[in-house]
Amino acid sequence: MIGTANGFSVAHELVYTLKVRDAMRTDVITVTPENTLREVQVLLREHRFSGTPVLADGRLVGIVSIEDIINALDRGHISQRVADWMTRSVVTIQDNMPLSRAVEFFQRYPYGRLPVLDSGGRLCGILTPSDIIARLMVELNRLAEDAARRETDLMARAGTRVTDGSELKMDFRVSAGDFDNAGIASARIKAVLKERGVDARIVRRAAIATYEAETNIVIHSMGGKIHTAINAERVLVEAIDWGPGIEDVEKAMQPGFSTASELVRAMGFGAGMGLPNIQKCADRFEIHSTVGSGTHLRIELDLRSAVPQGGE
Amino acid sequence: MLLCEVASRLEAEELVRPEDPEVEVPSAVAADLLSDILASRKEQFIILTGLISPQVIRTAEVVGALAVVLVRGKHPTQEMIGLARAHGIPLYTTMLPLFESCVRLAPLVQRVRA
Repeated sequence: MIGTANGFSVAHELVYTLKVRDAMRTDVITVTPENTLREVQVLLREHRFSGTPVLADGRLVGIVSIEDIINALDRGHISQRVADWMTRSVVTIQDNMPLSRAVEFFQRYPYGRLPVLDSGGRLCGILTPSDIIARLMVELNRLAEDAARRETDLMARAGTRVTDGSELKMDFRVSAGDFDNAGIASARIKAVLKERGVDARIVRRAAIATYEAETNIVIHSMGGKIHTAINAERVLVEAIDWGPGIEDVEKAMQPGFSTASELVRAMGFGAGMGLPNIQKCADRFEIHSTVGSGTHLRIELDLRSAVPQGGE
Repeated sequence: MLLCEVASRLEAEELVRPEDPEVEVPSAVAADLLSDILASRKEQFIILTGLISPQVIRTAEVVGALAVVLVRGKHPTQEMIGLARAHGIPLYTTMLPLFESCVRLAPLVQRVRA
């Protein structure tokens, strides 16, 4: 949830989830034992491969690598048959094995490519370390794309939206402990105000005040909601939670005072700046709290004046 | 200073491409406390931080940050990269620690103020 996985561990997890067949190349160029090494040399040069499997009657019987070709050129047997010079003891891998096995193979053996066999023992692909890297990069990018799409969907769907006379009303549920979605209401409010051509500084103060209120509900309450009402004159943001309420509101309003846990502080919150910052951003601010029933913040910003009343 | 100058000064790797690499960056906020970033009086700035969480991107979106630079070689989750993409927030990572990053950017900021 909170940055528990870094790039390395995600890639690590992926090599266990992905199968060899997900990364292998299937456009395998093969030769037969009857081909000459010269023919293989031409083939490798044309296709820029560093080795090719040798098939006899559809079964893998060996492999010819670029090293074999170099040796053949060096020792003068380049016109001879593949059958006489190919490597016969070929290390292969099954297509349904996890990619982690292939990584292990490449670490253990000095080979640059692994022929891949299907469950019937027939050649179905070839795998190189760069195929694995390419696949991992695609997969990591896909995870980021999925997250981007989820966010775009969420932004479009989040909250309810009704027009009441000249007022646009939006409501957002905020769940206790749900850090990942704190910020949706503020982002939506920001987008609406921006769309209406409100001064950028006012938009910013409204977004910051709402975000602080959202994170307060996530961190300190048992859940609640953000209610917004926007008209031509002002934006009203109400943050209402279902408890437990603040014992000493005056103390809670002091900069630096916080009851947040170490975990919350490790995430960069809980510095005791939330409520004072909301007050600073708002033109009018009220806080009512009852222990046992909950806290109600009423945050208002004028949309017509660009100069913040409370300073910044 | 320009965003692309910032990236090259910090030898930063680009994780989410900026729409405009030539955007003017008048200032920077360096903090490991999101509350500090939210309380900053600055308006047009990039964020330098060692924090790794989606909340960094949410905070950047709320304050309208021009970009986020993760310091000390921190690598974000794919989730965080996705969020940054969705909100169009350029994202970088640098091997430099926070203080060294600030030291390198200081002459560029002073040039802007001069």
